[in-house]
Amino acid sequence: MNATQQANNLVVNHLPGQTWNWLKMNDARVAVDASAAPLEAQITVPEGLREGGALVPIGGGMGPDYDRWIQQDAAVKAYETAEGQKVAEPLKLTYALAGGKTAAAACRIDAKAGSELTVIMDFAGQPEAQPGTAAFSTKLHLAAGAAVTLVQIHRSGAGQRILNDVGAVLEENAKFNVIHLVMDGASTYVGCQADLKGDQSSFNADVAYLVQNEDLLDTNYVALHHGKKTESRIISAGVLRDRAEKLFRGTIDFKKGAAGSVGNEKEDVMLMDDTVVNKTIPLILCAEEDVEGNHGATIGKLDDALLFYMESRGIDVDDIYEMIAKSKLEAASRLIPDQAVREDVQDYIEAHQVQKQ
Amino acid sequence: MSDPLLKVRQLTVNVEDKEILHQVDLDIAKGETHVLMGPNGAGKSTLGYALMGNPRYEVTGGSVAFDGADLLDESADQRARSGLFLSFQNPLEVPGITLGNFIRNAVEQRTGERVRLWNFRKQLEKECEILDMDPSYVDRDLNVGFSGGEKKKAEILQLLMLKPKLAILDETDSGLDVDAVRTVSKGVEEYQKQQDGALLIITHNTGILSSLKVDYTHVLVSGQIVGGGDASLVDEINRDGYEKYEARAKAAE
Amino acid sequence: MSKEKTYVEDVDRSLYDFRYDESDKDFYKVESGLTPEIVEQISEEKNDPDWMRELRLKSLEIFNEKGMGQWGPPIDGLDMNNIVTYVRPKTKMSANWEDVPKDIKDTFERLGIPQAERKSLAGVGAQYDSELVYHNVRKEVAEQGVVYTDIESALHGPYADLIKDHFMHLITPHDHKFAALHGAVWSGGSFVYVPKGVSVEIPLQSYFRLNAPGAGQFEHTLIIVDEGADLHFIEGCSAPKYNVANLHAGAVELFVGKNARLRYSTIENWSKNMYNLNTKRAKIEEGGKMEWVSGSFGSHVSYLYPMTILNGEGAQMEYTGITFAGKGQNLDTGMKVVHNAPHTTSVVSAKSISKDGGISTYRSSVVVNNKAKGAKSSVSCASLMLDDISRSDTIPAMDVRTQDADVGHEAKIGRISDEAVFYLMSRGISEEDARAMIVSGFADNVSKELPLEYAVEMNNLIRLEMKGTIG
Repeated sequence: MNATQQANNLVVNHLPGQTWNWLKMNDARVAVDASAAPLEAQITVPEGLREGGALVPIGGGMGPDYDRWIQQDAAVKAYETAEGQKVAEPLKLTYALAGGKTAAAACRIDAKAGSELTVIMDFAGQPEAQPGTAAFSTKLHLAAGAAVTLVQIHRSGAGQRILNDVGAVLEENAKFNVIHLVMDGASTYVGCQADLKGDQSSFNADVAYLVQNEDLLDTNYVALHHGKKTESRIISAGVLRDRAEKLFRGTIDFKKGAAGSVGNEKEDVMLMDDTVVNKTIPLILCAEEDVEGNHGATIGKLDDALLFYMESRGIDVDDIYEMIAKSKLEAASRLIPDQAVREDVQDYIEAHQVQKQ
Repeated sequence: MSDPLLKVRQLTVNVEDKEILHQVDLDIAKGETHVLMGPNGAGKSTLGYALMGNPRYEVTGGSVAFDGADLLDESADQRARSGLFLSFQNPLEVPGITLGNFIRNAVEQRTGERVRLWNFRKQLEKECEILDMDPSYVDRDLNVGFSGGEKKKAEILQLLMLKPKLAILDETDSGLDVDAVRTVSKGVEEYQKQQDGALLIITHNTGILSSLKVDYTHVLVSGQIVGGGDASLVDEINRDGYEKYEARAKAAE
Repeated sequence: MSKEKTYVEDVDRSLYDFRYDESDKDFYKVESGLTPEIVEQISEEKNDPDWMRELRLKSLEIFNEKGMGQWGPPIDGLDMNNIVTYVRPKTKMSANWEDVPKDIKDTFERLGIPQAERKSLAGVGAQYDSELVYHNVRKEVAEQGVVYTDIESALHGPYADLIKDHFMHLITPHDHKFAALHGAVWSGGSFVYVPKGVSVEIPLQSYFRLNAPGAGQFEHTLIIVDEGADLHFIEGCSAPKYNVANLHAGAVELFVGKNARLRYSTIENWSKNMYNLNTKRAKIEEGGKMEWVSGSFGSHVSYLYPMTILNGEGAQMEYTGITFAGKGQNLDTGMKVVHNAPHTTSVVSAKSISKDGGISTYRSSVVVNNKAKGAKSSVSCASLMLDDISRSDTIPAMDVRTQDADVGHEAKIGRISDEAVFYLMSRGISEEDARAMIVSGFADNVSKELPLEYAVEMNNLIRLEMKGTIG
């Protein structure tokens, strides 16, 4: 097809349990070019990690529509660990986003039984990038007892649209940690699904964001509890201001047979002015008796008592807001296991100047 | 000699497929007070739960006769109705059911007779007074928002109202201040007096025992009864600890 | 010792299931199905004013155009061509209980309706199939200026204009397919007006009974509580069980004036062949307060989300609900609230119980608009799963568009704790009773809010549902 300009309408981030259409939370529609250019990464491969590995199809949070589309053109990288191998250094993939033509990249991780690996992906906008779209797909298989931490840093700068899909299947006792930092980007769509297939597998997601400057963030986190005694924990914390719009979907889905499982989900949102739109929809779906599910959400402004406390220590109100705006990102950045990346991200947060309008 | 009230023979108990109690023997006659001591994790609470019939505690061997009948085939409520009582270490909170209604329901189950409200309230108030308990607790939801001390008092209140033949008190004195321990032990004394009730007291402390006449003391270590004696044993253990008994338990393995 | 019972297919509903055969000679019915002719016929029969006839015909058009949403429980078993939309008993509405025909009177008497009136109600309305057969309000309440009557009479009386200004203004035929259906074929229901500053000390009640098989009930309840006034309104519903689908698509429109208060309590116990697609909506002015108390026990399928529009500064809403989904039931319940003015508050306590393959869904939306500075919303949901063949979903949506709001939501799902059951059993209570006690305690957010006799009825329903849960 020569239809680079021909638009496709993808339905992504489908809410696992549908609700009223007028809320406009059931899914997101994104128009994309029919084809994309492969997006290559700058890669640091740690010692002992091999390229390759076979993967069965794995579903992600963005959904099948997106999968079909990105599979056509994405540049694919695949890695596998050896059984029992503890990979000491992280696998780093840095994607320099220049904008322009839609670009796509896919990464596959096959973590063998008992192995450990950290993967850090940096979606970094280039200075003076053209507006554009970058699309990513990361699919992981975690064999029995494997532990993988995936860090994804969204700092594409103004004007970029990021589509980011994560999907993982976990066997017995496997552990999957996701750390998502969303620092900017004109619009960011993140879908992340973990299928807790094996008994006692666990999924942990820490999400932090600052959305401002009319930007949009649309997310869909899903924990599918299939195995017995599986655990999930989804923690999202963020700040909205300056005509930002954000939609957080988070689902704990206890399938029949997932006896003894526990799921916890929490979203904390701070709204900093009256121009923002904040949508939150935390689901618990349950077809099993012997489970424990909790979710909570708190949405509000900066606590007056806290504001007063900080002012009383001599900090200017604007500075307090600035500090608080960055605080959620700072907190999440401390979870990044690699020191160099951690410091780099913290510098970025620090230097990040907001274009107040 | 007639059969004792409680006769435990070779009782073996598993929790989640792990054997916690090994072939325990224990006899308690009507009106007797027994003390069960032992270090943390020895299986003391397990014995209490197994006797009361908590389904999580699986009896894999041995027998228990209570008041002449085989106890092990009975569910917890049947055991309670036949006169066994367990005071919980951590009483559960049950929202929506008041303490008073709960006790009334339990008394009706125990006696098989309708309880007349007015008499019941009067008796309840009398027992509350003994326990130095504000009668307004009776109209609060069962254990919900009670302090540790109030929960324990509510357990003893149930003991006094239900009038069992044998009461097992699982660390009823733990976490209580001196005054509360004194109040609780006053309640227990009342139970002994009124009912000629037998007791199995699981404890670390002598406080609760000071005003009670103790007939026997048992020492449980690593799931086995490794020693016993009269009331003086309580003081001896408080002085010397469990070392001697732990050695015995090792030797027995 | 043998256990009392092993398994019961359905609860003993004999109190609700008795029925008289309705021989056609005693009832006027329209043909089943839905055509403009049928709607015209109903309109004629009811002697509608012109605007009402037009509203009906317009609603029918909208009904035919609108599709069903993709989100709720399936309603495939409901074929509108088989639903009789209008069944009128051949009797006039009466204010004198003696004049109500014997079989209808017997039905209500077995449900305890007139007794309740004598004891503790300020007024009672009783609807049998499509029409009210009885309506009465205590003299001293009437003397306060309180109006409680059927809508049909009110349409031709001194309140005709007031009704025209409110009827289907809050719930419009455009809202959804069954609101349109309601607009086309509505019949029966109540009109209540409480004048300024009047406080009605004891509750008013309407009781709805759907007796005809394969019929629909489409009653319209319109309540206006004027400035500073106060009212508690109770509705009860029941129907005997038939093998054909019955449909309930009522509409409840509530207008709560400045500093007024309205409490609306419902114990719904429709039979388990009922499709309960009911719409309830309230608009609250400055300083006013709306309180919903809702127990949903019956129906095969329910769609029920009372909506509150907090339209004036400081308006408040409280919702307290319990849903119990047993065998063959798919109950989709919850609430909607729109914070449309500053310093408005909403407090929600929703509970659900699923058992024997029943499906319960809590669905809600909390919308806080830009204007609602200082708004507060707090939602708490708890679900109880009684076995692993049932299902329980929680789908709460929040849309907040001002920084100056405090919105909190918490939900949890779990089972009856084995330890709690053991604790109660250790005091001599049977396992079945222990579980029933815990479930009743779980539901006490609602029973605490109900007048005593209704709380007792609700606990009896729970006890019936819990019988035989232990194999």
